[in-house]
Amino acid sequence: MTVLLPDGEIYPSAEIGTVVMPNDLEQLCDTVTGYSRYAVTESISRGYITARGGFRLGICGTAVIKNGCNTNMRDISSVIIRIAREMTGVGSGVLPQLLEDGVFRSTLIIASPGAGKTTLLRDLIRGLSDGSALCPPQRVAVVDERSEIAVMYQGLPQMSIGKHTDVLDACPKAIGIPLLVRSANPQIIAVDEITAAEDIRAILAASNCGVRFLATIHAADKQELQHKPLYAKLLKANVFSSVVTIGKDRQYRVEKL
Amino acid sequence: MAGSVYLIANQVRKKRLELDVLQSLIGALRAMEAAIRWKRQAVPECLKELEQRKYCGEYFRKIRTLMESGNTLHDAWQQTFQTFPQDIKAILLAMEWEGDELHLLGTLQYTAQGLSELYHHRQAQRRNENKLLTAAIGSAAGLLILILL
Repeated sequence: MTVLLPDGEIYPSAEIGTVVMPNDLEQLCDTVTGYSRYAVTESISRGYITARGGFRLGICGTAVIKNGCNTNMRDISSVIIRIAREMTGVGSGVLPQLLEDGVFRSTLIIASPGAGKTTLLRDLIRGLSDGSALCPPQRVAVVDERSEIAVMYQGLPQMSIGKHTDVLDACPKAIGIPLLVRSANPQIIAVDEITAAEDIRAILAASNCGVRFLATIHAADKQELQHKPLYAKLLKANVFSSVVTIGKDRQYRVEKL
Repeated sequence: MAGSVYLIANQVRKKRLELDVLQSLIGALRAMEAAIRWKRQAVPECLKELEQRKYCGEYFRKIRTLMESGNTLHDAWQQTFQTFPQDIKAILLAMEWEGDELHLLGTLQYTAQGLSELYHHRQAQRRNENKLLTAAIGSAAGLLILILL
């Protein structure tokens, strides 16, 4: 067992024991899911479970393949626990740079994994939804595919996401984006981690309806983003006007696209 | 005689309560099955909803409390229903909280069906007992009248 902190990785001492057995991992998954793995089959098939409080358990084990798709995970061999943290106010310096004449322009947030994209995304959602002196409150809709942005629990968000935010929880982005356009009449749709071609198709279609987007992508910087074939179409379509790059020590740099 | 009447009344009340709890449990298991089938609701949320039920709510509250204090679902279930009458306990403790959704739904259906059959059997038994009791009370009353005369 190891613990990864912002300052580095540490190894628990021998006294508390560092050997984790398969039974411990099975019990951990049962406890996190409330002995209801059937209720989280889709996320387990994608290799993770979201726990109450927004914590995410990445699961490694033996994949159960049916018809060429991973449908489940058995014989769990390791678990990676990501601790959720809310940092309110981190986006307050960034948000004014994303407005033009008081109107929000579609923005991409890019950074390497673990740099704080979701944290910034969440705070920008809150800022746009609540409004400020520079911008009135916006109708923001969130497709929270992995339940990490709003961290919904029994219909209530566990994180601050603003007073005018609609959340579609645990829904794939490609399905959720058109659904929200039809049902929630959003001014802005926020999504986390665009990774699939169908997500991009949904974004392009919705942006043609006048919806603006706030989204995150894994990329170290703008140059890397431009070299990724999947995102070339997105950049070519001029959906996004700005990009926010998160550097070391959570330094935010806003650039125009 | 008053003592006998009191004891008999107590027994009748106890058996009535057992039947009510049994009927309530059957409804609860069926509701749980429906919640899992249609909404894929997790077990802790099902238990929380079932706590509101009359007669059996306290048992689901106990299960949830035991789970929150670190017991597995299986152990919490077993501990909660240990004190039940043998025939009801045997059906409840045979429940398996393992497997996939289909298996769990099947287990819930099977257990609810088993309890339902037991309920009907006990109801029929109770009707027979009531008839005997009425006859006995009638005889006792007749005897009392004769003695007084």
